[in-house]
This record gives sequence, C-alpha cells and structure tokens, in this order.
Amino acid sequence: MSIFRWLSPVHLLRVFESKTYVERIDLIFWAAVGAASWVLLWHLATLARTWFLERGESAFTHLESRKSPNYVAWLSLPTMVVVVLFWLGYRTHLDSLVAPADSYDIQVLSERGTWAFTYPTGKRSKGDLVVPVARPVRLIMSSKDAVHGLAIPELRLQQLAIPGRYSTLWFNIPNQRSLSTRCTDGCDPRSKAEPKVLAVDESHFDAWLATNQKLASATSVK
Amino acid sequence: MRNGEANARVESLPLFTEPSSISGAMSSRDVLRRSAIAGLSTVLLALSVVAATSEIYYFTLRAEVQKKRGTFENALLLADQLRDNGRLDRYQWVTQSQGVLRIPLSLAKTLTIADYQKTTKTPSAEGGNVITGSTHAAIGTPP
Repeated sequence: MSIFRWLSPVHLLRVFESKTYVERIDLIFWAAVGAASWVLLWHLATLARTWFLERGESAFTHLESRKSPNYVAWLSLPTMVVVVLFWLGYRTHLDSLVAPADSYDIQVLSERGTWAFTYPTGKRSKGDLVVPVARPVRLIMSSKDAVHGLAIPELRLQQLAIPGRYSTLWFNIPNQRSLSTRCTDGCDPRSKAEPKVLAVDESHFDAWLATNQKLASATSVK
Repeated sequence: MRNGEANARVESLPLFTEPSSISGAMSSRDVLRRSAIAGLSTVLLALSVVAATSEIYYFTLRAEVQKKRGTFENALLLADQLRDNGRLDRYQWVTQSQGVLRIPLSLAKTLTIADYQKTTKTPSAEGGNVITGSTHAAIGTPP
C-alpha cells in the first residue's frame, strides 16, 4: 500500500466513514486534544527559545511580517485542522440525529428520575432497557414532569427527555452485552434509577417480549 | 505645497485603512459615509453568514434523512406540502362508503378543542378524532 494513498483526503474520509459511531467520536476527540496540545507545545517551545537562547529578544518577531511563510503557515495550518475536525464532527452529529428507516422504535417516558420503556408490542418495562443486538434501535423520549437526561457512556450517547416534546436517540449494539447508563439531568438523588441496557439476540428478545420474565444481564438469557 | 501633497495622498487611500492615519485628514461627512458603508456591510455579512449556515444545515440534514429513510419526515414541510395541495383547507371525502371526511384544519382544531372540553366535563367513550352526529350538525352535510 502506497503512503500516498494514506495522504489522500478521499481515502481518509472513507476510512473514517467505515468506523463505528463510538470510534469516530473518540477519533475526533483525540484529534482535537492532539491539535490543541501541538499548538500549546509550539508556544512553549517558542517561549523557551526566547528565554534560554535569545536572552530576551522576542521569538515572535518572525510572525510580524504578514508575508512571511511562518505567518501564512501559522494561520492556514490550524485553520485547515479546525475545518477538517468540524466537518468530521458535523458528519458524525448528522449521523447520530437521523435513525435508519428499519430501526426498532421504543417509546421512553421519564418521571421523577425513573424510566418506563414501551415496546411496539405494547409491553411496558420499568426496569432495564432490553434491546435486540445488531439492529438499529431508536428511543423516542419524552418526560411527564421535568427535563431528565439519560446517558449511555459506552456508546458516547446522551439525550434529554423533555415534557411536551419528543427527542430521539439511536444506536446499534453489535453483540450481546450489558451497558450501564447515567442520569445526567433532573436526577433525583433518592432514586437510583439508572437502568442497564441489555442487548440480547433476536430470539431471546422475542421470547422476553412475549413473557414477563425479568433479565438479570444480557448473558443470563439462555 | 505640502498640504496639497498630503490631500492627494489621502484621496488615494483605500476604503479600509488604519483609522489613526486618516481620521485627521477626513471630513466628518466622509467619516459618516464610510462608517455607514462599513456598518451596512457588517450587517449584510452577518445576515448572509446566518442564512448560509441555516441553509447548509437544512440541506445536509435533508440529504442525511433522504439517504437513510428515503423521505424527509419534516412535519412543517409536510404541512406546507399538504397546504399547497389544498388538503388542509377544504372538504373532501376520504372514503365515502365509510363516511370518512376530510375537513379544513382550522375547523378540525375548533372541533377537537370542543370535544376535549366536553369529554373533560363528562367523560365518554368517544374518541377525539371520530366524526360524530354532533360534528355533522356543526359542519353541515358534506357536499
């Protein structure tokens, strides 16, 4: 594989698009942290050069001429980095806004820090959120009393349930697992209602939907 | 001689120059004119940036929805399209055999509120969307 292929923006975009939502969010986060650290290091190095080598002469004089290559580079390189980071973040944000057409819709209603999940079959669960694996799941959220926030840290997702309107959140969990959630807004310190997200395979999910069985974890379904 | 040279130099200055170098040589009328141009350009630029950002957001969101869901399920847009087709502002049979009728949106709102007020006073089994005998009496017989 040629190194030039890796330098091509089209190739990099394809690699980015092939990653999962979580991988993309992490990549953008660390790229932003890296870019900021690089700018900080550049400044510190320039200051260090002034203090220790040039004994008081300004190290920034080379930036004063607006035609100097340093000035152009100092302006254009960070601008390009910011534009690229913005575009990648914006694409990822749009992706998280719109759920695929074949997603499995679950109504979510919050009240006093507790969460009630209503499935398309009419089944209502006040415990954990049980979802099918390898299938896009869309939560259609609303609230009865006040604004409540639900976060699923391992999926890098968070959404607010707001009275009088609907908000959505979608995800696709590829394998059987159990994820923890966090209350992020309007939390009641007395209630420890942080339901787990249990991703189970399709047959177990259907069986669970048909019965009143309570799942302890995603792997407890046999 | 020197004053003349200075004035000629000031006249050849571009629109945007360091204020300290021109303010002394400019008349108050010129200052006002340039300030007005600068202010107007700023407002126009700001409005264009806001409009462009909003358009780009709308366009990209629409493209994303069309890519994933095939249609653009924007309630406001749908209402606009229905209004354009006249379906929200007219009477029309939906299925005449079953007696399902389309009525103007404004009337539907009034009837829904009236139904709601009635049901909150005396709860009944009737749903809010069902066209009842009283509804027919209120809107008249369909054409």
